[in-house]
Amino acid sequence: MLEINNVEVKYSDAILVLKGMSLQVADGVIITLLGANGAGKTTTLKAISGLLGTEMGEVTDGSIMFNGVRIDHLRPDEIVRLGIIQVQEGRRVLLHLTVEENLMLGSHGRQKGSFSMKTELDTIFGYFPKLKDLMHRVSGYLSGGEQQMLVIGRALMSDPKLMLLDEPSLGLGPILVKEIFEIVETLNTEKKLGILLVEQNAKFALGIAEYGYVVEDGRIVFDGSSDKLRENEDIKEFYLGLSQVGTKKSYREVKHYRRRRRWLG
Amino acid sequence: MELAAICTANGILVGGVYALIGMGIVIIYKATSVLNFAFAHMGVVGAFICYSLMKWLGMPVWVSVTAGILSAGLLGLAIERFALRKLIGQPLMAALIATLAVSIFLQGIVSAIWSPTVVSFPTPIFPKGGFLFFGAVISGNLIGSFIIAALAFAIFTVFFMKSGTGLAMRGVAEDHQIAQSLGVRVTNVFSLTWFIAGLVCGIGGICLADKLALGVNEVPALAFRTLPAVLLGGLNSVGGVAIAGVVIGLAENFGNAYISQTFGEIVPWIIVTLTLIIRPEGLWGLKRIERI
Repeated sequence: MLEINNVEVKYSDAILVLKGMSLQVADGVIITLLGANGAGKTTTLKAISGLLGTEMGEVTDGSIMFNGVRIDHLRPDEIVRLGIIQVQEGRRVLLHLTVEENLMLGSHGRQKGSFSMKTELDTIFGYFPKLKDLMHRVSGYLSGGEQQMLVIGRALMSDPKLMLLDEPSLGLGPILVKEIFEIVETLNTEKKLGILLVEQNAKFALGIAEYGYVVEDGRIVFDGSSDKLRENEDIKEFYLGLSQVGTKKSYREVKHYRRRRRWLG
Repeated sequence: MELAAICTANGILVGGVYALIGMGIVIIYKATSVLNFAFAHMGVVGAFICYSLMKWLGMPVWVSVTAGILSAGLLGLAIERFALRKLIGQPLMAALIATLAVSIFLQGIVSAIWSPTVVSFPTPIFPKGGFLFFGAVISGNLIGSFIIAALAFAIFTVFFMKSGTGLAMRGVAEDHQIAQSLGVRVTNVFSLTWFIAGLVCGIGGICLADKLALGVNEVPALAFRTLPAVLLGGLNSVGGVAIAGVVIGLAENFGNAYISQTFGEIVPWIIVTLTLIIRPEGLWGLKRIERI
């Protein structure tokens, strides 16, 4: 169970990015975080995984608890060991290493001898059969979809309880996006893996998530079950691109800023 | 013909030492993007500690040598921890200047503790006599140095390529944030990198000190010939520096023998300059992989 309470994040002691973010991820469920560019979704994930430090960011207020342990001031490697792994956006493979080496490095945080590398790799290849054929290829030359599978597979190698998945659909074609989302859903049901999913593609995200949060300007402005979010007029309009009658809306007639003001107040 | 044989043998053998010291520079550059200018003086400190143990405490050769190499490794650890750790995230130029400062600092310390005059090991590390090699006489120091250097090079290469820690080091070399997100403690990898670099500089320093003489300026003068090898091979290629080390060793020896003593010293730099005009990343330097 991950609990984020009233978290405030500052970059360089100057730029306040999260202004009282609160959310919860129960064990083994998929939760999605929706929001526009710059709303603070990725910052939220980095605050959880501890990667803020490399970007001069810092949690200045509030707390982040994972299974009763306070993690907001732990190092990233300690957080990985507790079972939280972040899959960063933009398919961050280690370009010059092979697929196999990328996967093996994913298990770096685990106790040596507590697992068999071969079994673990085989499990990953079970979910991503394509990667098995590409095992000895330099990962910089994989296609976008293959790289996305690789980073998810690599994250699984750390035997996580919670995966922070940032924009897995970014820059991928619709068929691949569907495939990736199906795998994510399988991982959730088969491995009981909790997933905090950040997505621009709200339709897909709400399709697999149980519950969703809407982030705007560094705080949660709206949350509810996926069904409830899907029915909400604002969500429909801003994230699903549908107007009230369920048809494609005309962007010319919408006054975005007025409706947004209501949330910001 | 005999001259050519001597040059070839000497070039390859001394090239092995350049390759080993070069590896120390390359692994630091790969992991931290810092070009370490203190490498030569780290080697000098190792060599002087080895000397002191032999001369002042009368330790056997192998104990002194091991202790000298280890202390150079620990010195590397200390440099990373106290001079460079605070500069993580700062402009790279700051770190580069810091290594220069460290080298000057070490030079001063060595001059203060040990006399600034040139000494030599009480017992030679390698047999002084010559060995016959295709009709040419090759000094025992060169052969011994090459064997040690090649062995160390091979051991570390296997460590980088086969062990889990080596894999973590290669991951960090490529991208700090990705490595960190996978649970690698990046600062520990930096420490380890500097430790290994210190070890190889220590080995190189002792080999070079045994070759001619142990002095605070004499050993760095030899060790700095590693730089053209590193630039030629590519700052981020361990394999490249191995080949380039031998190439530079050969160029130096042939230049010395066939043209003039001074020319031997500049010929490596001529080769490097010409190469960098055509390939700025060095012969085997990694280019960024970009899919188009």
